[in-house]
Formats: sequence, C-alpha cells, structure tokens
Amino acid sequence: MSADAGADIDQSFIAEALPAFVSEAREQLGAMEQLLLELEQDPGNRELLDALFRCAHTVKGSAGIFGLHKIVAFTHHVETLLDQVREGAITLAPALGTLLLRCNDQILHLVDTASGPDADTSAHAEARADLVTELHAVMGDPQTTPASPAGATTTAATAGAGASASARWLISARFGTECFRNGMDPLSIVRYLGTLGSIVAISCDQSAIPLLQVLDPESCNLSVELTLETTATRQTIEGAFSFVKDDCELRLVEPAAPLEHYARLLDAMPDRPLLGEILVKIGAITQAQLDAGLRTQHGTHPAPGAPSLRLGDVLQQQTGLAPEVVAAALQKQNKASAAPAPDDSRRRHQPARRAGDRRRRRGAAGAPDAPGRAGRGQPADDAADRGNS
Amino acid sequence: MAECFELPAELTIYTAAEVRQLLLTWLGEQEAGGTEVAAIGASGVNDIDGAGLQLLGALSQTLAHQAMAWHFRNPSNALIEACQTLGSAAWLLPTSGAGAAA
Repeated sequence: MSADAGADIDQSFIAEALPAFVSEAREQLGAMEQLLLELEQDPGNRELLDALFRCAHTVKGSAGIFGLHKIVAFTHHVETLLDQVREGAITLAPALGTLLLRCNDQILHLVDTASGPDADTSAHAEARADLVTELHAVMGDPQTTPASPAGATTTAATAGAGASASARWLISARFGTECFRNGMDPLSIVRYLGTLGSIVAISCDQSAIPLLQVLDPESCNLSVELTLETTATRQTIEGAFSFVKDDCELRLVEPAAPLEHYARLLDAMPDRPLLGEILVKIGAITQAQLDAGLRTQHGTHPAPGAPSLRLGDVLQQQTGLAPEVVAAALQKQNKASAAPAPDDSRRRHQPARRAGDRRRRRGAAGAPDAPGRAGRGQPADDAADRGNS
Repeated sequence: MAECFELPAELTIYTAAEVRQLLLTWLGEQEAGGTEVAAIGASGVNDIDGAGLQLLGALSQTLAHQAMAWHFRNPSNALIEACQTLGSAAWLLPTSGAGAAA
C-alpha cells in the first residue's frame, strides 16, 4: 500500500468506520500497556510476548485498511522488534519495556489524532523518529546510530550481525503444496526478499514441477535457491517466510560467516552446556529452527540398539549449518559440562523435565529469572543432553 | 490448428486450471501435427503469480519431454519481470528447446 493510500479510499467509508477503528485500537494499546507491565515480572513469558506481538500487528493491520500510514510505519518498527523479542533474539530488559511503553504512547497519540492529522505536531514526529532510532539500536541495525541502546540485552549474534557488512546468504525454499490455496505467493515472497538487499542469483527447480498432464495447478511445487546479499539479520530474512513457515522447507546458509566469527562469539559467552541454546544465542540458527530440529529429534524412534538421532546432525541437515560450527559449539558444551556447576545467573531455562536436568541446573537455582521461558513448552535441556552428551 | 498458443491476460491461481486444459488440448494438436517449434504468445499477460509461473514450468517440462522446442512470442514486461524474479529467466531466451528447457 502506498504511503498516500488514504487518498484512494472512499472518504465516507473512513468517516463512518474510523470511530470503530479508534475505539478498537485504543483497546489494543491498553492491552499492550497491561502486557508490558505484566512482562516486567515475567520477561520471557512466550504467551504474553505472543499476545503483545498480536496487539501491535492488529493495530498496524487495521490502520493499513484506513490508509493511516503514519501509524502503519511507526508500528511496523515496534512489531519488528517484538517479533525478535518473542523469537528470543532480544531480551525484554526493563529499559526496553520502558522504551516500548513510550512507543505505545506515540501510537496512542497517532490513533487519537487519526481523524485530524494536523494535531500531530513536528515535535511528535521528532519524538517518533528518536524512538525508531532507539528501536533499531536495540535490534542492532547498522543503518541507524546506536545512540541510546536503551539498556536492552541484545544477543552477541544480533550485535555481531549488525556490525558486519552485507553478507551473502544462500537461501533454499521448497514451498508446500498448500501454499497457493492458502493465498500465499512465492513470487511475492521473493520480491520482498529483494527489498532486503540484492538477489544476486536465483534459480527455480523446474524438475520439481510435474508435467502438464499430471499437474494440479492449484498445488504448489515451486522450489527456489537464491543468493541474497544483505545486511539483514537471519531473523529478518526468516521473517519474509513467516506467512508460509508452517508450509515451507527453508534453509538459510551464511557462507560469508567464517568459523572465527562464531568462535569469537562462543568465547565471549558464559558457559552454557546446551547445544541448541548455544547455537541460537550465537545466531547460527533461529529459535524456530531449533524447535523444528527438536521436534524431528523427538519424533524419530530409532531401532533398539541403534544410536539415537543427534541434535547437531539434525540441525546440520535441516538448516545447512556448517559442521565446523556444530563442532565448535559442541566443544563449548562439553567444556562447560566438564566444569564445576556453572555460575551463570543469566541462564534462562525451561522447567526441568528430568532428574538429570534438575541436577544439572543446580547452578542456576535461585537465579531471579531461572524459569523465564515457562510456557514455551520446549524441552531444550532434555534434547540437547540426549543428543549430544 | 493454431500454431501459437496465446496466453491470457491473467495467468494466476484463478485461471491456472482453465489455462492448463486449453494448453493440453493445444499440445495434443501440435503433437498430431508434428510441430517442431512451439510458440507461446505472451504479449497480453499483465497479471501473473507463482501459480501462473508454475503452469509455464509444467508446460516447459512437458514440451521438453516431447522433444519440442518452444519460445515466447513478444513476452510482456509483466511476464519478463516475473520469470526473472522467480529464477526462470532461461525461458526468455530466443528458443528453449528439449535441451535448453530440461
């Protein structure tokens, strides 16, 4: 939708329906404020984070229908950050909560002035521009000046990716058969990827398309491989596929990321004896990829006597992760496991699922945010231990 | 027997099933008539999506399977852009044939 889409929309429709939008948006913003306050007590609660994201998404979507481009544009930045928070790439530190509350106030102001845009002063516009800069600083976006990082704890991976120049990502996507019927179009997704940087090569796997005689033209058989040169983070690239993520085999490989890059991040990390968590934290894979890998690992039952699937192997196969990176992370894991109980108050773990986990988690007991991601339902400890110890 | 198959203006999920049927009928005629180089008229295509491109992919596969060379006739900008975007720029070469399209 163009920035001036409002001009194309029937003005009488807007006049009639705008009060309903304002009322609903106020409700959503009120809910966001409440959620942010609740998250202060429970910053890793995935349900609350999902609800928060949905609120922002709804406000943006409704505003888009009315061509309220200022609300769409500003809320988009908030939504992008919230997506990274709920994916675990950014921690919702108290200072970030405050920043988001300030953003909330600005969205509320825009909603309140939706019917009379003149009430939106240049001072408000400047305040919003500053907030956008702060939001991008938290996300480690190199295109903005990280003047005030708002005290948020960004993962080393995000910061590292933000600081680096553009990288060439090898992206392989096999779209699921229901893609078209669900209203999704791989062509649009590739076009969007192009806006994140420059697509330097792309090929469509023609051999995956059946002959005309047997083709179901409404079932999708498209599969593409492309090289994207971009400064965007893995999360942002994955975000392009967010609408098809349940119906698409996606692999992202960053050939430009040398092993030394990961090794440096690994060295800088406090000891964390969980392979999956290590790989997510250094940005080698996303939380979604870890979740998918764990599902595969758990869903596979090897024959009696046969070795069980190793998480590292599963992740390599599913994500294109370099074996060297897995090996380096495993080394980190093993070193940490051999060490005395780790003193790492920053660990955020799932509730223990096995006696072994509880034993291993002694070092984290008493940490104020130890059960932080309860409700996520992801047995990371269990799987990483079984797969790689 | 039409030597050239004219693609419709809209080549999307909404028209793919219908166009597939027309293509199958036309292909049968070409095969019976011993056509060696098929022409696909593409000047009128102004709306194309992934499903439309997939249909062209299936056509390309089928023609290659039948050892029939083919080419687009006057492809529209919309078609050219879509082919390039989704990694099928090879179709835009003067003649895609059994070898080129495979």
